[in-house]
Amino acid sequence: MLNVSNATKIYGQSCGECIDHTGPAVGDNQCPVCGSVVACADVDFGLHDGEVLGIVGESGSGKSSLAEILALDSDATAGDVRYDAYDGNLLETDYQARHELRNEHVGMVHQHVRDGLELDFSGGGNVAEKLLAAGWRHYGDVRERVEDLFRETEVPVSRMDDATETYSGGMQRRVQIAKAIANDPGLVVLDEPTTGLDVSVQARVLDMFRRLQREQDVATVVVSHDLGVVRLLADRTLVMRHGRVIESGLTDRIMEDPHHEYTQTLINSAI
Amino acid sequence: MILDIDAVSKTFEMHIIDGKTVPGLADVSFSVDGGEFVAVVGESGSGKSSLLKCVYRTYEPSTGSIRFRTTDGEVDLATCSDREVLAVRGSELGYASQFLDEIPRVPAVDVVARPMWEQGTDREAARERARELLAALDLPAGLFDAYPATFSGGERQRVNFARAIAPRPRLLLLDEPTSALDPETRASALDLLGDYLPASTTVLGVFHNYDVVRQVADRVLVLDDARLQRVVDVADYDPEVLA
Repeated sequence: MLNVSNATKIYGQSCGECIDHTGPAVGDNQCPVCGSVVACADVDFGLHDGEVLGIVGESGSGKSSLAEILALDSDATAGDVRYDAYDGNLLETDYQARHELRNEHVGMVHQHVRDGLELDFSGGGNVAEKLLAAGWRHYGDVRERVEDLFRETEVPVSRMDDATETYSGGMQRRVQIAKAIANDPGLVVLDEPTTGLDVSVQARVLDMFRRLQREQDVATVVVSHDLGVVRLLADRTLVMRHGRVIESGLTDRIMEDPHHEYTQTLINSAI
Repeated sequence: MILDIDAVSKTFEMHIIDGKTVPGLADVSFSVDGGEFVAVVGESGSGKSSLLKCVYRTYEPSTGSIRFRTTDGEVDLATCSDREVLAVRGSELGYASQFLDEIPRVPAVDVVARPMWEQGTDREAARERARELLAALDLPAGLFDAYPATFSGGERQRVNFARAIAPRPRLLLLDEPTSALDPETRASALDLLGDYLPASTTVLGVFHNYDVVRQVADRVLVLDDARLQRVVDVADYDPEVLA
C-alpha cells in the first residue's frame, strides 16, 4: 500500500554530488564540497496494510526527516513514494492534494506535542478540527465521533472540553493519537511516541496503540531512538546512520542477530 | 515430512571484537515428520537455542535451507522474504523463548490471549481460552489479571508457555519451556501439551531434563559444539553416550 524508493532530503544548496560525498562509508552526513546536509538519501522500503515498520538510529541519523517526508510535513529533495490513496508520486503533490492526503489518509503523531496540538484549545476541539477538515459538518456527529475516539484511546470523555494544556503528558499523547486516527487513515507515522512520558504511561500508550493498530489494520511507521519501543511494536525494522539505511530485517533478527557493525554497537549499547 | 533442514550453518561475525567469527551451528541436517516430537539436547553453548532461532528466523542462517511444508505449500525459512516469515509465524509457526518479552503493564491473561486475537479469535473467547490454559498450568487465578513483570520465574514461564501453545501452531518450537518449574507443575505442562495440542502438532523442543525427554519425545537430536552429533529414537537414547 506504500512503496518508497530513493527518498532523499538535502538541506542547503546541493552541489549535486553530496550523496557521493556523504554516508556511512564517509562517516558524515555533511557534504565536504558544498556544506549541505544530507538528512536522508536512497531510502527504499515497502509497507502493506496492517504492517508496522520501525526506524531506529541515533540523533541526526535522518529518521525524523524521513518520517516528516512520509507524513507530508516536509518536502523531499528527490524520491518516489507511491501510496494506495493517491494516483502518482506522493512527493510531487500540489497543495490541494497534499492537504487532502494529510487530512484523510495519513496520520502523524509528532514527537513534540506543540507541533501536533493547539494546547489552548480543548482536547475535543483538537480532534474535531481534523474531522471538520475532512468535511464533517453536523455538530452532533462530530461530537459523537470525538467521544468514540476518546474512549478508544483511553482519554476520559469527561475531560474533552477542557483545555489541552491541562492534560497530563500521557493524555496529550493519546489525544494526538486520537487525532491521527480520526479519519481512519491507511498510514500512521509515529515520531518518538513515548519520549517525555513517564515509564508507567509509556507502557499504556504502547499497548493502546498496538491494540488499535491491529484492530484497524493500519500501516504504521514508528520512528524511535528507543530500541525497546521498536522491539515491542514493529514487525520489521530499518537501522539508519548518517542519513542512510544500513541494515533492515525482521525486528527480532535485527535485535538478536545484528549484522552491521553499527547495529551491533547500537544493540550492545541499549540499557 | 513437515520440516527438512539441510546443511544449515550459522556464523556470527563480531565486528566489535575485530570481526572475530563465532560458530553457532555447523552443517546441521535432519528432517522431521508431521506429528513428531523431537527433543534437542546438548551442553550449554552446543547450539540448541541457535537451531530453534534459525528455524524461527530470529537468526538468519549463513548457509543451508530450512524447508517448512505449510498448508499453503513449502517455504524455505532460511531464505524466504521477511513478509513470508511473518505470515508463517502468524498462522502455523509458534515459539516459546526462554524469557517472556511483552509490553509492560499488560495483564497475564491478555499476554496469552493476544496472539489468538491477532490471528482472528474473538477477544472474549481468546481470554476464556487463556484463563483455561493458565488454570491448567496451576497459575493461581488471582494472578490472571496481574502484570507478569512482578511474577516469579516459574510463573512467568507458565505465561510464556501458555502464550506459545494457545493458537495451536502446526510447528511448535520450545526453548526449555519447563526449566523453572517444580516437578508437579512441570507434569501439568507436559500433560497440557498432549491434551491441548492436536496429535498432528510437530514439536521441536530444547530440554535439559532426561526424564522429560523420555516422557515426551519420539526422537532425540544431540548437538555438540555446534554440530549435529546424532539423532536417535528415544528408546535408544542414552545420555551417557557421547560418541
